[in-house]
Amino acid sequence: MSLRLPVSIVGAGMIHFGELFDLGYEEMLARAYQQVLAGVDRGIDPDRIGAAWLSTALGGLIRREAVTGASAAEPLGFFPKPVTRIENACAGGSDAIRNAAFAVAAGAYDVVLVIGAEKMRDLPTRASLIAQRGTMSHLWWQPRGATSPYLFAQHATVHMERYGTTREDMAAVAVKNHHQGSLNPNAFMRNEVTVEQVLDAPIICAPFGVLDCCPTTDGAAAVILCRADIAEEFTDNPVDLLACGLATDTMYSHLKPDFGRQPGPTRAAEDAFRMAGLTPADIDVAELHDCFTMAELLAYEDIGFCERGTAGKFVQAGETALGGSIPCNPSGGLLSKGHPIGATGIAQMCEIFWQVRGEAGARQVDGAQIGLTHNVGGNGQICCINIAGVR
Amino acid sequence: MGTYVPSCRLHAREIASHWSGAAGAAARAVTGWDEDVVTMGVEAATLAMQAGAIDIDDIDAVVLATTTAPYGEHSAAAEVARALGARRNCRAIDLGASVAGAVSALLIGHALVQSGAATAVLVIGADDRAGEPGGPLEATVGAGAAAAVVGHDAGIRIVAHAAQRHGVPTRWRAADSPWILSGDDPRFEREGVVGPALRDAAETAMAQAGWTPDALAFVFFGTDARLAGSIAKACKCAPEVIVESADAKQIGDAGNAAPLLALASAWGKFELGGRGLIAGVAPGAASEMLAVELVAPASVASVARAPVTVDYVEYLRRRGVVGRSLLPDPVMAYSTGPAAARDESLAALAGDRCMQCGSLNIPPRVFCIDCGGEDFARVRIARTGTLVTFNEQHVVAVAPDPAPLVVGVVRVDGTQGVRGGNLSVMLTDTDPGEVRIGGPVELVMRRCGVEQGLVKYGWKARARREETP
Repeated sequence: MSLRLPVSIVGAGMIHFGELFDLGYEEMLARAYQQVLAGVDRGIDPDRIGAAWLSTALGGLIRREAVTGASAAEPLGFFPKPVTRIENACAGGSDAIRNAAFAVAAGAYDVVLVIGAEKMRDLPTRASLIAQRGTMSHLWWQPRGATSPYLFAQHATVHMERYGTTREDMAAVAVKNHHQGSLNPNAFMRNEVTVEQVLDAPIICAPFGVLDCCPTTDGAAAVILCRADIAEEFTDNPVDLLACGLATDTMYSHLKPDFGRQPGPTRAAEDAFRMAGLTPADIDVAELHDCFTMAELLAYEDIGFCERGTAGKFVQAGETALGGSIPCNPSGGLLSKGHPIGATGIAQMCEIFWQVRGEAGARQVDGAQIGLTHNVGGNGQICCINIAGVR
Repeated sequence: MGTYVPSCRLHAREIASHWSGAAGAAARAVTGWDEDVVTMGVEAATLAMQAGAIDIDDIDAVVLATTTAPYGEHSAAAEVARALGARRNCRAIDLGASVAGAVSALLIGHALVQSGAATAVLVIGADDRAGEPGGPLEATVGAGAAAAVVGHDAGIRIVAHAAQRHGVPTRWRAADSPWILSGDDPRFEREGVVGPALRDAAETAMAQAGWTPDALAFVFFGTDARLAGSIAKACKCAPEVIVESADAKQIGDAGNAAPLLALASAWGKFELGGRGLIAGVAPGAASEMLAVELVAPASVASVARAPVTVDYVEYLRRRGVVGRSLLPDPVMAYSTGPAAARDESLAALAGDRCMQCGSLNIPPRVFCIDCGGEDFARVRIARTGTLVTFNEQHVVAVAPDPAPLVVGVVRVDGTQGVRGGNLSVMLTDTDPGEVRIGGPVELVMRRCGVEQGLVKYGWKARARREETP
């Protein structure tokens, strides 16, 4: 008996990520909704959509108000249909897809919307994320003085010491993803960068310079899921959502069993591969959670694309670039495309949708049929891995 | 006894280079940006209990004397007691406004023990002082803390005591000002105000003890060195009998810490049975004089760290005189809310050791982080460990934390557990260049931000160095 989900993706849409000073939160959601409706090959009557899942991470922190399902229902004119808000740190977008897919698989709905948005740049970059960490003196939170980059920098320090990984290895991730993002019209930072620029950039949290870090981003993205057996009502070329894996680990640095590896993503990947009946070698293209350069290197190892400790050599050999054995982040990833938290996992799935349908233009991975999204929250405290492919 | 002096020094010549004619001690101790009398008091008290082999559970009262408490209202002594993990029924007493308070505190501790109200009292003198910029006290006042455990088996016996009120104020600090001012007639202060009062107090104390001036082996004295001549004259003893802290000229006049620093640094230099005075002097206010006899060998512990020189701008920055405005801590009402009350074990750095697998759970939990066990023993967390990982932060979130600073994970010495046994901390008093994986650190209580005027005290780590004082 197949464990694969009986769920398909029939539409994907996102707005151009960036510093969207002229778009509010509700308008971003509405624009992404327009995009996803327009992205269904045969069109779709919005009345067919029975329910929606909204992913937003920072609503309460930045907007200073409660974000609920109604926060999406209202701008989309979706009421009184049910909307559930998912908040699972940076992995919320992928987990919203997972929850929506399970509802479809359970037979509760035929067609559902998954939409995510984050409005981060209504505050200075310094205040939007950085100020949310390390301001308490709780010992079991991140330490006073720590900022978000620390979550992955603490792994980098150990990875460098243990495996000889270098800043140049990390810079190779930034160079690759900026190049690929330069080919993506929806990416925020479409500039190419050189290894020297990455190494010489101002240090944020050693060993990360500013170009090792993703930008603070506004954005929204959406996908439409439906029962696999009705997908062809909407398109001749549906993408099947094969598997979803979600795993947790402690969020507190001092409760981690080790650094330089993340047990949560490894477990999420194992679960997803088991559900899909696939192995890492079956993946043609991957969108990885490269919030920091080291995060992408950890992902190669945690998922099993390469052996533990070899991620630096793996990226330097071009294995994960377009044309390599497992192209990673053809969209530009979080480093170039941007990281509007609640939208990120959904935008990753948009990219896989376009890649496996052969619609990714200049950044197309040749012959891609099966893709994977890897979406990490905190420093590995939550990880959602979704796998999708064409029939 | 225990003593703690901040490692930063501001040299008199550095001050003099910005003002004409400044003089005074060779240098003064300067508190770190995350230090105050509470944090210094905790360090000194911890060392005092170590030196005397006293457990915090046996302390019945904490008496803190300081003129520079972090609060106008709210007990700094209670904050110290909480950080030390004192019993809830341990009395917390604050003495303020007088730099003679620490010597009064010794007498209060003595009286509590004599009356049977307490068996062991922790007496702390701590100050973080600042003279008016460009003024005569700027280079002469300093910072530090010293603590003594007062009890039945004390190594120093109080034989007699006397107090004498002075005539007119000669040094003062307004309640709304950070700066100490002084009258402009130092000879009048010495010979017309402080000298006569000291003489009367010394004569009274010696008369009560039945001693003559030639019986004095020592007079422990910590206040402004320029008053040392007055006290020698007042006690009718040779100037060499007057004992200041060994490094008073590198610390400055540390107010309430000063007489205790003098006592701690010289206790071991005198023979058992030696007699003398402990003088607390608040110039222009009052003198407190104790006649004491040394009845046991010295037991003193202190932190010896190589001094770090700071320049005048850095000193003024730490005083809040210069510097750009930075983001304040977000108001989460943590310090005054239920969460902080639940965190009392962490405020005192305690954890739970699992009875099943031995893992040290920090903070305490219902299910062991390693084995799921549900039986624990509350333990004090060792104050030393090694770094598991670390990073240098060049962008920091809120004031006044200066960049770059180091944050990391510490493996606490002697602990078990895979996920247990570690702490997440900021490093303080540490040069980023000396940090490495596996490097030894010690845990210290420091200020971790201010919210609604309330200081959030928490634990940080500093690199442990093998160094000689």
